[in-house]
Amino acid sequence: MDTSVASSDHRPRFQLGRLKLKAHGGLLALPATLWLFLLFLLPLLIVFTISFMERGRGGTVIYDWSLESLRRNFHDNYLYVTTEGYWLIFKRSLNIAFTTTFWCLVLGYPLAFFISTRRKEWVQKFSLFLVILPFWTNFVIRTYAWRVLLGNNDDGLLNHTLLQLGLIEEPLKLMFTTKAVTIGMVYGYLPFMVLPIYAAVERFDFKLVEAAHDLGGNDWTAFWRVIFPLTLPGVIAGSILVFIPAIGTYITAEMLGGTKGMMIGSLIYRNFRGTGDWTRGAATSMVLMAVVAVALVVYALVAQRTENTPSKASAHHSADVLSRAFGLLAAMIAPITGSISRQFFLLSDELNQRRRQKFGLSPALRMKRDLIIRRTAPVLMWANALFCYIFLWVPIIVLLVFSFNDSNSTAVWRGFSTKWYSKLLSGGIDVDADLTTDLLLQSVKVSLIVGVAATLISTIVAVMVSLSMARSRFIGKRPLEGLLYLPVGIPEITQGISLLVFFNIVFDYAAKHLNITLRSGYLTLILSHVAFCIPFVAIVVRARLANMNPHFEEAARDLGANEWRTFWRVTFPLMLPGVVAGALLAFTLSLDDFIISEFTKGLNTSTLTVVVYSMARRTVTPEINAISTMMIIVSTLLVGLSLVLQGRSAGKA
Amino acid sequence: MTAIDVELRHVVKEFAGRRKENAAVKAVDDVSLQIHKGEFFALLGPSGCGKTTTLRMIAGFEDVSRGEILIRGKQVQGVPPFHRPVNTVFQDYALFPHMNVLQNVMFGLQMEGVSRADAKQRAIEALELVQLPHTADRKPRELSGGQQQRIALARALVKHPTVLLLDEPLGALDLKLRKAMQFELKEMQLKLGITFIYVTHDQEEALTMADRIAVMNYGKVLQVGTPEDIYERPHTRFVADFIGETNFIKGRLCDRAGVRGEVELPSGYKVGAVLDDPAMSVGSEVTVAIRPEKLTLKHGNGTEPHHDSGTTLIPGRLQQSVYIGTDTRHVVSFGYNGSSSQVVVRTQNFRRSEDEQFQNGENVFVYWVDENARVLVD
Ligand SMILES: Nc1ncnc2c1ncn2[C@@H]1O[C@H](COP(=O)(O)OP(=O)(O)OP(=O)(O)O)[C@@H](O)[C@H]1O
Ligand SMILES: [Mg+2]
Repeated sequence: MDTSVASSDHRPRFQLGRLKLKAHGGLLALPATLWLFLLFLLPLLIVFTISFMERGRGGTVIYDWSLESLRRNFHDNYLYVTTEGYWLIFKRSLNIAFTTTFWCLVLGYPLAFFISTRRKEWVQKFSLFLVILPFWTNFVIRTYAWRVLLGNNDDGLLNHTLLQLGLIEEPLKLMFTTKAVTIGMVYGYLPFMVLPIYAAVERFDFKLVEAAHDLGGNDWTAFWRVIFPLTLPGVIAGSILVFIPAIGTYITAEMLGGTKGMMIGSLIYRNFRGTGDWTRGAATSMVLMAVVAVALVVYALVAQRTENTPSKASAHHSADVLSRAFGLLAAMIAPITGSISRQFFLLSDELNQRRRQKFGLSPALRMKRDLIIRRTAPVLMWANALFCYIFLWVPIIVLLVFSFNDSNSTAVWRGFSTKWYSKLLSGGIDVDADLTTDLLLQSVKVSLIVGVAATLISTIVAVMVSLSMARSRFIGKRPLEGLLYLPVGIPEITQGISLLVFFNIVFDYAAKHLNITLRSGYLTLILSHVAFCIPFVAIVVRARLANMNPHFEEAARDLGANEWRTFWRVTFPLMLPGVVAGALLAFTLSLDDFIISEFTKGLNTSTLTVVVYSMARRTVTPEINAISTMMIIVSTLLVGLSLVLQGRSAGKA
Repeated sequence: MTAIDVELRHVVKEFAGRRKENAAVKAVDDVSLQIHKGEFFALLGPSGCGKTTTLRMIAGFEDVSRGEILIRGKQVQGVPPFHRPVNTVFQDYALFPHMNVLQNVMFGLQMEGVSRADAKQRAIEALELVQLPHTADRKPRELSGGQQQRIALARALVKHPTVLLLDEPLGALDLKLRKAMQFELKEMQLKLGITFIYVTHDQEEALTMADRIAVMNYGKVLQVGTPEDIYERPHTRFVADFIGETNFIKGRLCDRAGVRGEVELPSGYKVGAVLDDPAMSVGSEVTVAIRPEKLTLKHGNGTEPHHDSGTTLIPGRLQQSVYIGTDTRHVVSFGYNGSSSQVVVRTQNFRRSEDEQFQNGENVFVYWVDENARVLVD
């Protein structure tokens, strides 16, 4: 499952100073372990605990460990979830999450297939890049873009255009519906679906399609009997990566759904804000996690079947490593899966048989049908790809264009102007009394400080743990593997509230017992950001390490370099592109984050995303377009930088 | 005249160049072949000569650029692979990794709409044919290379194809297994009477297994014939060189009478050989090709070559003898005036008497019967 572990016997041992990495490398895993234990696992356990406690006055929690009280509170808190209003929201969340996953799959599979079957390498890279770039753009901004497009009145671009064209007489109700939420989420999470499927199709050996054709299967059969089953792990990984954030979403539901589109995320959020009820919020979080756990188990069940298929290319996509991580879970449930899948295939054979008997076609007609399939499939794939690219890019382009509009409108073009930019930078913002240029600049400062600190720390910690996982053996490696990847599978909202609760408890303790007054601020932000960045950086760095030829290190040792110098002269330069990519990912994630920052920020330490969200949630204005444009440009530059860096070192490895 | 199963008429396959400015690659260049029913036909040639491409065009994975292909007398242009009565054993087997062995073998039958029970029955029979019925429940990756090879064979044979295409099916096996499988494949082909088109770059494999061989190079078919034809009577220097070891001696055709020719070497020696190209004129530059095992060494000191009554004897000096088990391989150099050349002589070690022992550096005669030497154009 993990090649780096399997082959670690053949790897040289090297020293850091006096320490032999193979023997003592476990120490390198210590910072990451502690960090994730204290700022991820422990907070989650606390949330779990308080979901069995009683609500005190003003949102506080009364700790009562008697069995009687635990039982009563379990009833109160968990069964509360089944009351009518709550239940409705739960059902809606599930509904939206499934619909989102479904559409991401329907659009994403053919798109991924389209991308990975492009012959020319640069075309392939470019079409993948077009999918990934929007993904690097701030999520709040991407959601905001849909507010601009879907506005309910004449000032929504879509409504405005349709009215102008005379296609509709009255503005459609687009915003604040579950449809709007679904569209926004499909938009936001489509790349999550495309990447793992792309990785799976890349690994797929197309010789097998020829074999299927040779044995008499037409394109349709070859797809369903050979290609699809063998790319299924990618499909499931993608579905999971879409489903988890979708079910726990907060931003999209709030910005596009209003009260009509409220979801579990908002429910949890409210319970941890103002006069909410922590205990009920905690219980709701636990239910959310249970749903996610079910999804992960389903993934494990299906992924196991095709886990060991021979692959053309080794793991170089982080998505691939991610799916391997989930494969760990799968290993535990392997025996059940075999029989389930057998039953499934028996059934499908049976159905095929019946269909054939009923609709038996003459050979000539079959030939005609097969040729029609052969001709139309590529056309459909192109059409889908075209649609996806338009879908992915139109909102961003609209946003950019209207930030230069010489009018208040975000739907009617009145000529070119940069006045919104100058207004932003000269202190003249008056969208809202809350927002001043000072506040904006302050939030940029906060975001940069937190982002840079979180990036530096999480990168160092993640590199250490990756090295230790790849090059040494120690007790507790397996559980650590789980701890390292688990955060990826936990909804952000749950992480956010668990950190809020955790810091509150720590602050209370400090105030009561140590007489120290602690407040949320830079420190809490950085601690939390590092915690959610570590897993992602580790995924990227580990992928790089797994791909690295161990002979380079052996050669260096052979040439007389000691372990310390081998590391700095050979290992580190070779893993650097992975480190840089990981760091950029961390920086982007940190800038992108809303929920966790929202729960761990202090009074004057709102991050840029938090500030933009608080504005964009309520209004659509050209100023926000202008801020968005600048943020898009910055993230594009970052992606460009990472591509240049990776391209430059690609030849070296 | 036996029926023709597969016919290629002036087939050309061009691949577009990678970049615009690169010319198209002619992978297959004006190939015409007739493959008879029930025949074991080998396509033989060096790497990159277009064997696989030819096979893939017959299977339907590639379209022909020009020319036409007929299977059982029917044009197959535009017919997708799944509607052609041919099946392929792929070089790396291409077994479906997510299906077990039985499912792999059943796949093709199910595509034909054979009922599950029948398909299973026939698949098991096919597995028995390749002697692997006990592997039915295993996944392909749990089989050895040789076993995978047989499963691939069973998967193709179970469909009773008109023609079975095999692309270097034994390429991945070790020598011993290869030999055993060669024998088995040949047996199976005789038993089932299916036409085999067999791609290989191993001349020995082609010689031992095939009824007829087509030797290819640079996308062209150079010669088609029985193994004996190809080995004993190669038309071109390439064919002679590619199949078995051959000595090439350059010279000028100085006389010819019917098929008998006399060639003058640069050293002035005159040697005899046969030629079957009636157009070859006296005076042209030619090459004499002769197999090492058709040469004999004789003791004797002498400087005069001798050529008459259908035999040739030329003097030389033994450079080196290497004992290689069944044979001994001698390198003899001959010639003077600065133009010396070498030939290889192979003698069988059935009788290592005093008579047959040669010392390095010794002056010897190389002797051959003219019928065994051939005059080739370059
Ligand atoms: N899809 C393709 N695109 C471009 N050129 C190709 C393609 N397939 C084959 N060729 C070229 O056509 C020529 C013939 O290739 P082919 O695979 O038929 O050779 P082969 O005789 O099977 O060789 P080998 O013994 O190595 O398998 C080669 O020069 C090859 O580079
Ligand atoms: Mg080949």
